[in-house]
Amino acid sequence: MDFALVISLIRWEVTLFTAGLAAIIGVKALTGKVNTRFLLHGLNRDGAHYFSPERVQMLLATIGVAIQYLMLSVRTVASAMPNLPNGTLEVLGLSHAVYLGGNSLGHFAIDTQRTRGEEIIQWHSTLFRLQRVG
Amino acid sequence: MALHAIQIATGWVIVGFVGLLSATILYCIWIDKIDISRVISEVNRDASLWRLQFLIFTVVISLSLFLVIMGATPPAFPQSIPEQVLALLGISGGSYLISKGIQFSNPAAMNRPALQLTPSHVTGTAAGQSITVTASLPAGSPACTLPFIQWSLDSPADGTLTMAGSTAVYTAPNPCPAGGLKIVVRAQAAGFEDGLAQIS
Repeated sequence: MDFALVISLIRWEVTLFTAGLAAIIGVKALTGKVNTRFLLHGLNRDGAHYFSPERVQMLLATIGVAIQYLMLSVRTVASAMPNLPNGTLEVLGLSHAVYLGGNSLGHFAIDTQRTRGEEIIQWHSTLFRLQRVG
Repeated sequence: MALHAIQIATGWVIVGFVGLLSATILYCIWIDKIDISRVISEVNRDASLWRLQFLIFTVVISLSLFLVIMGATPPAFPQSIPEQVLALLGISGGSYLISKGIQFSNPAAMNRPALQLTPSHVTGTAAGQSITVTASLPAGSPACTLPFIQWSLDSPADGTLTMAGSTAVYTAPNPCPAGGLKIVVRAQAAGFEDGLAQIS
């Protein structure tokens, strides 16, 4: 009996387990058994959901980086984890920055609009009260 | 010689244990004994892209680490983890924390009142029976009128649902499914947690 056979079997078991887990999660997500509701939607301050392109680009970037690293890992035979290709971190960082920036800007814009709206309402009610007093 | 035999025997025990454990976990997930329906969900029940990203990166990097460990002869933990991989996880985790900060600054994302459905629980539903479910605002809600309500059936969506504004009529299938009827009627509206009615 060779020890290499044991190692090879464990390697196959873990690979099959991971692939099986990914397949089950994929199937359950597609059949609605894993909750994916509003995955690509953001939430306004008033609680309404809106379609968020920033999320779509981040999902694509995530899947791209993950597949790229997985392929590198499978091909690498060295005894060290492979490095990410040049520019990958920058792309991922940019993707996150776009999402977070867009999200924050959306919040500030809504806040500004709301503040201005409240100011106008206050100004009108003050004017109305002054007219009644007058 | 005896030591080698013990090593081989231990190896086979590990192979058997890992194999059984993996098969059991996968089987339990498949038959929903291990519930992963909310694996990428937030507290407010919306799916989270950040959690999905964490899940993907964790699986990919741990699988890569495993392949490297098992690729060495004899199997050995790598001398060092590349800084770029740590940075990858750092970017993902850091962004997640920032997004949490943004989310906590948004009252709409937290503590939303839940829509109330009447009746919320119905048992002993017969085949073909119709049940009328009505949505209402929770007590103490600042809103005066009901917003637009979207009705749906959670999977498995056995039966039919006809809806009109704040009311929906669920009709059970005829005949009922073999494993019994387990239906969740869901009402969704902007600014509110989903209202749920369980029918069995």
